[in-house]
Amino acid sequence: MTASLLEIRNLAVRFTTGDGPVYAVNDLDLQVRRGEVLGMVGESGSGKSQTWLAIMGLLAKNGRAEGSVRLGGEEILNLPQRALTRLRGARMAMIFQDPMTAMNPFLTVGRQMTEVLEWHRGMSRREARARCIGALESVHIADAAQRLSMYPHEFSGGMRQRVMIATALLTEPQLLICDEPTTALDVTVQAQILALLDELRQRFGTAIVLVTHDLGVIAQLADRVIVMYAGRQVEQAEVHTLYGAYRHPYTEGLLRSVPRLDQPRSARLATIPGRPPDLARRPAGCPFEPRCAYASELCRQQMPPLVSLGEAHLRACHYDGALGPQGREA
Amino acid sequence: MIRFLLRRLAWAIPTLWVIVTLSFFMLRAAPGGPFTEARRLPPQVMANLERMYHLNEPVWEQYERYLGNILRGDFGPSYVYRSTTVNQLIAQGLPVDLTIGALALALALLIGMPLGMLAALRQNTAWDYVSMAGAMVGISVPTFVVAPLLILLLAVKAHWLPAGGWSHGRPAHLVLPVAVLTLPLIAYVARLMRGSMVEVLNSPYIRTARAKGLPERTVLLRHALKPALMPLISFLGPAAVNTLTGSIIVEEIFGLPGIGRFFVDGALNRDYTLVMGVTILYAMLIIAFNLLADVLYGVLDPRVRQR
Repeated sequence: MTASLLEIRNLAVRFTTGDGPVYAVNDLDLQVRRGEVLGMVGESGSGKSQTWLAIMGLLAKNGRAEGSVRLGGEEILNLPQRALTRLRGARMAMIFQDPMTAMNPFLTVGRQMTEVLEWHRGMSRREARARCIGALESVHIADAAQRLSMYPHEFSGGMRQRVMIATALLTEPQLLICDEPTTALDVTVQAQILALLDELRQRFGTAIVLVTHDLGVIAQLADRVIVMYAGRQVEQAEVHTLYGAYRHPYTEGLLRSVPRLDQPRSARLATIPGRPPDLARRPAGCPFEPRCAYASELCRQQMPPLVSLGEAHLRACHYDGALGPQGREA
Repeated sequence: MIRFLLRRLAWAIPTLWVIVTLSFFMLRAAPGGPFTEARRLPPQVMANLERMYHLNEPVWEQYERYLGNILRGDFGPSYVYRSTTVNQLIAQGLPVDLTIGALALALALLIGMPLGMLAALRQNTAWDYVSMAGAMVGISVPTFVVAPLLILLLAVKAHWLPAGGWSHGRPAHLVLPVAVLTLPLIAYVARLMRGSMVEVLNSPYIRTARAKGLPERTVLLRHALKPALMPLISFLGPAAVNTLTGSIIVEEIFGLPGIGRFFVDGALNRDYTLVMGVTILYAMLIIAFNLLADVLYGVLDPRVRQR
């Protein structure tokens, strides 16, 4: 089960804008293994969503992706349109943040589900319908048969996201990319969706990529985590390692800024000072350097490479000392 | 859906009543009357005329009589086109406008919609820029410039088409008026279609459809077309009435016997019944086409249907 399903090498995503190029993703290397849940965290503009949109061939028109992405050994980056229609929704599927707008309000839920099987599997409408009823039941939607002839606006947000997940899994893809799947949902519904994803992963062995800014979501579901900053991977580790023994100052900042219930209400919420960098400019040094409490002269001049710390733990940082309060005082 | 239709039709009755009443009294309030001409008529003749058309009665009684007549579908006699009823004038003029208007409307949709869709699909390419610049010209150049130009080029110089006249609707006589009427409409439809298509193609549900691997043809025809048609429908409701009832300028330039000129002549001559008749006809058409637009909304959009 450790064989890698998706291999990303040197992925770069660049957008051409009126003010010159914007570098959304830079030098990204990573693998997704079969059946694992890979979390990707970062703040808005860290390139986490664009990475996966590029892989799905869904970049905006002014976006270009370079590098190499192999799915099961086969190059899939920048495929022509015709090949993409055979790949997307069949071998890899993607669901999006806002289930309220991600479904077509003009078509019945059934139509939006059956069309996937009709196109990819050549099924008749009737066959596809029967399969879709089963799929809706597997995401715990009651009265599935009647539900198919209803429209998205007759569903709640959580139910729509279940429908999106059921639709994505109709073709039993090897990879399911979830871009902020629970961000637009209530906390209780969020928990249900995460439980559902976990259940489906175990049942179908689908590898799941979970893109989110919510560390809580990652902690619940992910096996491995990648931390993105300014279009770069800054740390990568098993989920327990990351939460217990993170080695990047940015990861520390992210973890410290999670609100905690065990602290007095008067305690100020920790924040990372400053703002994310302008992606139109590419500094010579570490992009996090201006906001980093541990930065040195070296950080200003040289981009830290992503190096292995052993045991599947990688980070991109020059700082060698201890992190945390004691590190900051040292 | 049927209940919605009935409710809307029921609403049309008070709306029409308000329009009839307002225009009736506004016309009477205007100075002069149908028989006040430059040369004054002898008082006895005037009195006879007024008695014949019941103009000597109090306005209130005239109003009651008029309401009673139009409820029976009788718009009364024209005061200026002597010995002709308003019903006859409308029956004579309306088919001319309907023929030209319907052709212009059909052409506008047939040409404008694909033009706009292509511009949206090839956004920011030469095709997009050229067709949208053309549309801008089509909208900006007024009819009274385009019509004489076309007459000059195609009729006077080239002798390909007649310069005007109706000739019982012979096709050659239709070409120029329809062309003049449809050009700005094509431009409007194309621009509207491009705008809404661009917006729909950027919407999250289109991204979902693509993420599902659907071929671009399906994404476009099944997922994008219906939502992109919605703004067009709201535009077409009133625009269709405008086009179908003809343009006074087009009628005047091409010498067509449409109802537009009756409207103008009637207003200038205080031909009360004629103006009222045409006004009511326009009002009914506007109500009917807005209703049609609402029904189409319901047919296309399930969220509207349920309300």
